[in-house]
Amino acid sequence: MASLELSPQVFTILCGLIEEHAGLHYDLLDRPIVAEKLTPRAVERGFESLLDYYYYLRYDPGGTAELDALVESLLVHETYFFRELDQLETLVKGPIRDRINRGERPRVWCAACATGEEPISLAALLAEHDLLGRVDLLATDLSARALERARRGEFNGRATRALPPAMSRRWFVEQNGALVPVAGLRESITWRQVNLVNPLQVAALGTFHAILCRNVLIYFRDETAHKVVSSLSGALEPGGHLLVGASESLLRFGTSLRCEERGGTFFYEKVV
Amino acid sequence: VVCDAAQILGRRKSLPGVPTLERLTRHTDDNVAVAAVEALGRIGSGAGAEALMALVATRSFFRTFPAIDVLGKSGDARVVPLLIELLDDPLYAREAARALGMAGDTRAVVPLVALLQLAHESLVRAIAVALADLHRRELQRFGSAALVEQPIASPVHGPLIGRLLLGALAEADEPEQAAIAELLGWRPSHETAAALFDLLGAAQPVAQAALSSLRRLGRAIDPQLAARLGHAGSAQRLVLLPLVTGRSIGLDSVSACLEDPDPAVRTAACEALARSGDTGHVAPLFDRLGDEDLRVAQAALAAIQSLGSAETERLALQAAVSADARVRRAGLRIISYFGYPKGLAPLLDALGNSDEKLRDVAIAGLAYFEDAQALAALLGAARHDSPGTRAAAVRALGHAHLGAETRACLHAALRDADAWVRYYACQSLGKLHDDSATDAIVALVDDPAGQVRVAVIDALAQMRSDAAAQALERASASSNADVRRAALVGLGVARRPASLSVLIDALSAPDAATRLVALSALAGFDAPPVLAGLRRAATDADAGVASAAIGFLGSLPGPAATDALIELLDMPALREQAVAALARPIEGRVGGILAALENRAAVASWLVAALARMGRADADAALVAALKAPAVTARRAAAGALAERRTPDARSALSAAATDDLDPEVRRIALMALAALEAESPETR
Repeated sequence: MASLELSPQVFTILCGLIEEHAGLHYDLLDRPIVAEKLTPRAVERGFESLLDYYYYLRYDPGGTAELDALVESLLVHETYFFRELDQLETLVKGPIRDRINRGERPRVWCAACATGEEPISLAALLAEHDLLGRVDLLATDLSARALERARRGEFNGRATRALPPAMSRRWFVEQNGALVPVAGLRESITWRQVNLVNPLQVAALGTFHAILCRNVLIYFRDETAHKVVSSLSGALEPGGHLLVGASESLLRFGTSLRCEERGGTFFYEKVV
Repeated sequence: VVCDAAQILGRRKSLPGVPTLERLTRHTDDNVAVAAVEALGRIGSGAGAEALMALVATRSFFRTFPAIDVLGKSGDARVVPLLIELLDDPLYAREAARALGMAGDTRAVVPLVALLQLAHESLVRAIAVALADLHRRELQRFGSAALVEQPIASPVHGPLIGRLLLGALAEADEPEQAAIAELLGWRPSHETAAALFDLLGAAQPVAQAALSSLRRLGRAIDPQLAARLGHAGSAQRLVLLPLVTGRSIGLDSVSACLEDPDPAVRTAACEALARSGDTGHVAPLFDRLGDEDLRVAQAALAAIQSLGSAETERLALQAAVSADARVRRAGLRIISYFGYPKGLAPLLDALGNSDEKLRDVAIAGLAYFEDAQALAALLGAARHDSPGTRAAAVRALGHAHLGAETRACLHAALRDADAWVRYYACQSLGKLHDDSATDAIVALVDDPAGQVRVAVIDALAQMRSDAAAQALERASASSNADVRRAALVGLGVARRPASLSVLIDALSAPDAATRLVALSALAGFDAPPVLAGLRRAATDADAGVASAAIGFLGSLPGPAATDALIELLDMPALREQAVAALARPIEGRVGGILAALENRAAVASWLVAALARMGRADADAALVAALKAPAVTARRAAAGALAERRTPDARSALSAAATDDLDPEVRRIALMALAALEAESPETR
C-alpha cells in the first residue's frame, strides 16, 4: 500500500510538469530516484495513484505549493566552499577589481547558490582583497529550504573539505566542532528565491556585471539550458561576464556571449 | 599548424581526412604524429587501424602509447593479436592490457590471466581493469561471462590470483579497486570476502562492486556478515543491511538496527527483515509504525504486509486502537490489507473519528469488505460534511458492486460542489462501466476544474456507448494535453479500427508524454499499421518512447516484428534494447533469428546474444545450430555462449567445433568453453 506504481507514461507526464516548473530534467534511468521521492508524498496526501497525484499538482489550487515541496525534495545541494577557486580568484582580481578601480560598484549574482557556499566563498575572497564593501552581492536559489540554511549559516560538514588554510584562519570560526564562515560574510549577501527557468523572475532582478551559474546547466535539457542562458545574457551589463562550471560549455548552445580564457578558466563576455 | 590541422580533422570526424592523417602518423615530428593518432581516435570506427598497427610495430616510444589506446577503442578485431603480443613487452604491457579490455575480445582472457600470475603490482591492477571490462562486455552480450570468469575461478590458478589481487588493493585507485572487487567475487574464499566487506566503506563505485561481489558469494558470507553487523555503527550498518537475504545470519542483529539513530538504517533494517521472510521479528516492526521518519514508518508497514504472521492480526487490531494517530492509521491499513473479519469494527469506529486522514484510511479499507455494514458506512461517508471524506468514499465505491444505491450515490456525486468528489465520481462510474452515466459524465466535459475534465475522458474510455466514443474522438484533438492523452488511452481501450489513424497521428505529437501514451494505446491493436507505427517510434528522439516501442515490438509474435528488431541491431544506441527484446521467448523469434544468421554476418554476435539470453530448449538448439553457421562471427559468439549450457548437445557441438572448425579462433573458444564446463561439472567440484 505504501508503494504506488510509476508507469513510464506517468513518469514522463510528471517529469514534464517538473521540467516545466523548475527546469529539472530526468530521463528513464532516473525513474527509481523520482519514484522514491514521489511515492511517500502521494501516499501521505491520500492518493492511491500517481496519476491522481499528478492531476492534483497540475489542477488543484494547492498543487503549486505541493509541486514546490516536491521539487525541493528532488534538488541536489551538494557543493562546498571554494569550489573551482581559480575562476573565482580571476573574477575578483580581474573584472571586479577593474570596475572598482574605474569608480564603479559592481553587481554580482550567484544564480543557483544552493546552501550558499559559492557566494560566501566569493565574499571571503572579496574581503581578502578589501573589496567586500564595494560590491553588491546577490545570491539566489530555487529552494527556499536551502536559502534558509544559507541565511542561518548551517552547512554540511563536507562543505569545508577544500578550505585553503589561510582563508580558513581568517574567515572561518569553529562552532560546535565544525568550521563555519564568520557572520559578516553571510550578512554581506542579499539572499532571494528565484526560479531560473522563469525569465520574468530573472528580468526582475535587474542587471549585473558578473553572473555565476556554475554546475547548474548540467541538470537541464539543452533546450532549457539555452533558454536559461538567454535570460542570464539578458541580465548581463554590456561587458559583463557569465561564469559556468568547468565541465559546462555554452558554445554548443550558440550563445552570443564571447568565450575567453582568463587565468586558465573560461569567462563568457557580453560584447559591448 | 600541421598539428592544429590534424586535431581539427579529428574533431570534425573527417572521413576524407583519414588518408592524410594516416600519412601524418609517420611524420618526422613526434608532436604531429601524436596529433594525427589522436585525431584518428576521435574519428573512431577503426579509422586508420592499419597505419596505427604499423606505427605500434615501430615501438617508437612517444607514438606507440597513443596508438595502443586508439587501437583498443577501434573495435577492429585485427588489432587483438598485436595487442596480445605487446603484453610480452614490459614497457607497453600495461597500456596493452588496458587496450585489450576496451577491445572486448575474449581471445585476450588467457594471455591476460597468464601475465597476471607473473606481474608486478601495478600491472596486476591494469589487468584487473581489463578483465573487468571484458567481463562487462560479455555480460552485456550474452547475459553470462563464463569464459572470462573460468580462469580466475579455477582451482589451479585461483588461489594465487586471489592473493595477487588482494595484494594489489592497497595501491589501487578507485576504478582499479572496483575492478579488483569485481574479480574477487568470481572466486569465493574467507579472505576475499573479508576484503570485500572492508571495501563496502570505500567510494561509491568501489562499494557498489564489492556489494555485487558479496551478493554473488551468497549465503557463504553470512557468518562474517552477522559478526560485522553485531559490532557495526550506523554508517556500516547502512552498507551491510542490503546484504541480508535470509534468516541464516540470525536476525537479532538486524532487529537491533530498528533502533538505530539514523532513519536510513532503520528503513534498511525494515527492508532486510522483509527480505528475510522470518515472521519472528514482526512485533518490533510494529514498534516502528509510529516512527518520526515517514520512510521508516512506510518501510515497516510494507515489511509487515509482506511477512504476515500468526501474530500480525492481534498486533494490527491493537495498533488500530492506538492513541498515536499514525500507528492507528497503519493498523487499519494492515487490517484492510489482510482483510481480517475482526477488523471491520475498528474500521467502522474510525469512520466516526474527527481525524480526516484516519477516516480516509478506514474508507479505503471498507471498500474491500463485502459486507452490508461496510457498504452502508461508505454510502453514509459519501454524504459527509467534509469534502475530503466524501471524495474518499466516492473513490472507494468504485471498488464496490454496482447496486442501485451505489449507482444513485455516484450519480449524485457528479453534481457535488467539490471538484475532487466529482473527479472520483467520474473515475468510479468508469471503473464500474456504468453506461447509464454517460450523458451525465459528458455534461461535465467543460467542468471548471481541470482534473474533472480529464476524469470525464478517463471515465468515457470505459464506456461502450456511441456517445462516449464520439466524445473521446473529439477529446483526442483537445488543446489540453492531459485531456488529449486521456482520450488516446480511451481509444486504445475501445480499440475501434477507426481510431487507428488518430493514434498514428498522435505519434508525431510535440510532447514525448503524448507520443508515449499514443504508442501504448496503439500497441493494443492487431492491425498492419501498428507494426509500422512501432518501427517509427523505435527511433523516436525521446529515449522513453523509443524504449517503449522496442518493448512492444519485443512482445509481438511473427517474422515482421523479428525483422524490425533485427534491423535495429544496426543502430549502436538501440542495440542493447533490441537484443533484450529479441531475447523474449515469443513465437517465431528463434526461427527468425536463425534465418538472419545466414545473411546478417555484421550483427551475428548480437543475434547469438539474443538466443543465449532466451534460456529455452529451442534457443539452445539454435545456438548449437549457430555453431555451424557460415558467418565466422556467429560461430565464435555461439561457442562462447555454449560455455554456459550444460546440455550434452552443447558439449558435443563444442567438442566437434574444437577440432573441426576451420577458424582457429572458434576452435580456441570451443576449447575454453569445454574447460569451463569441465570446471563446473560435479566430478570436478
